[in-house]
Amino acid sequence: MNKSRYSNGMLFVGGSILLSSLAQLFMKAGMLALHDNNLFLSLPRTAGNFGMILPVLTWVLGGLICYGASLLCWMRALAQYELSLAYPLLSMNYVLVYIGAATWPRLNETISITRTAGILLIFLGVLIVARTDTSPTDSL
Amino acid sequence: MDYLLILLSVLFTTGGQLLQKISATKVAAMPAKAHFLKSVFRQSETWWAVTCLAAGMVLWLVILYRMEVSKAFPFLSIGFVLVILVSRYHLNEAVSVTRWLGVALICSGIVLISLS
Repeated sequence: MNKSRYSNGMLFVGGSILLSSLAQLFMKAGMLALHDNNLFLSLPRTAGNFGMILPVLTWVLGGLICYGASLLCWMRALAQYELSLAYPLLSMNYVLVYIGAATWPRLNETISITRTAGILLIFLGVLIVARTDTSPTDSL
Repeated sequence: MDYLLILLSVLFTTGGQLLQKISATKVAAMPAKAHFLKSVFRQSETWWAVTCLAAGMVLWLVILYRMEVSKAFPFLSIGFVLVILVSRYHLNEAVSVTRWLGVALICSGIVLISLS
């Protein structure tokens, strides 16, 4: 790997994480724009009404574009860094999606001690699992 | 029902990624002069991969329709646990004590989220 060809890799790691979190939030915003009590009743009614379907399509498409851009940033980041350095940082996604969903007024999702504790445990767990480590292994 | 949908979505997405890998391995084994994109799309696995990934995405949108994203999204970390279990019990790879600790943390986190 010729490292001198690439620079600013952390920008792409950060961009990838930010974009994939945004993708989740945008897709949720799109599904909220669809909201009715029943998806199967809501879909045909919404699909037949341009004014109703436009926000749904815009948010979902925006989410998919962010998702695609995130994958591209990730591949660019991996061209510069070892996977062992970049992979654990993906655990930030769980924290960012929670903060975004709780603070973006359009989503206005539940904040609770239980959920915050759960997110922190998952953040730590993914951080540890994704890390390359050299500690003793279980016997085979 | 919601948790079953999440599990299905994770399985479709993971299956799609495995099929992508199988297809890419087959293409890599071909003579160098073979046209890359043509070879990729001639593999039936490529089309099964696309189908699985699309199904996973549609299922995920249904899940987001039914529940909060801050509750649904953390469940995706079960993918890390599945990878560890498969590499330990199917591929017979050694798994470090630290990784098992990570698995335990993820599982306790998921239990807390499902209660929240």
